[in-house]
Amino acid sequence: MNHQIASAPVGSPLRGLKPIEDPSDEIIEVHVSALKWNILQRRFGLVASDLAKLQQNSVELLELLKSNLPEKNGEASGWNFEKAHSILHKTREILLFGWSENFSTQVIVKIHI
Amino acid sequence: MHILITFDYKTHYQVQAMERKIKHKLRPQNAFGLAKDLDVPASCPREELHQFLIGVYGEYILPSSVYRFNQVLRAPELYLSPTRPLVSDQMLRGVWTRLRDRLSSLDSDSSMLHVTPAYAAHFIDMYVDKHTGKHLTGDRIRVLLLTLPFLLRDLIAPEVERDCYTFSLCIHTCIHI
Repeated sequence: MNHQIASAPVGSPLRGLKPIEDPSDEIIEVHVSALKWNILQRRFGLVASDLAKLQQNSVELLELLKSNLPEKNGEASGWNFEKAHSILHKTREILLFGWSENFSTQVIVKIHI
Repeated sequence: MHILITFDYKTHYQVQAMERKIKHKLRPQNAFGLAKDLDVPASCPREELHQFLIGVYGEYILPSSVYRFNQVLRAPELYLSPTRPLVSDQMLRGVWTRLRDRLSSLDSDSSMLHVTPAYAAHFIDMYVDKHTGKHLTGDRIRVLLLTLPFLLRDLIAPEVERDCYTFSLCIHTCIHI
């Protein structure tokens, strides 16, 4: 695409457009942040400093979602909805209920399957 | 929070009579329901499977990533005429075929997990072709969570960097060989 934009003749709709940037890096940044968040919140025996880090990771993930995937999948509401916001509550839930696996349903789902 | 509940008195009295008879509470009152101003659903913990793996990641982050790639490749200014995008349907399909092939090339020797071609095709059906009847379990979403940060690298670099016309001819030739 960038080759055609750079060599677009006069009168072409591509003439004068800025080069296209591959968004892979920004998308990968979100995926890596999601992976880090998931690995950390699953760990057994998180101490206070880990929970503080988890909360920081939660905030960073939500901010990355807003900045790197701003239009979500074409919906107007963006990332302002309960499920996206719920990642911010994970630290409090671990404080109240303990290890994430204590309130995980995955074991039950595996039995069902 | 105010919830309108229709109360069936007849059933209530029947249950109450039976409780007295068998000397056992059939409908014990949940202690959480007695707490003043406590929103029970909001105070329950969100569990990983539905809150994050299938929820935030599977339902929102993955489709949004696919959307972002589509948005770049099919930006409104990249149309040569109203019906002729610079990136043809065939080229766009080539992007997702590339991702499918990257996914199915993972094996346990190199990546510590093995992804079958059927799983890779299922992923494309679900997230690119948007088949509504297809789903992934939490463990299968976790495979994507672990691998996609590596597989998405330079996914559309060939389309962005190369001449679309020549690239389209290459794809066309490869398909027909």
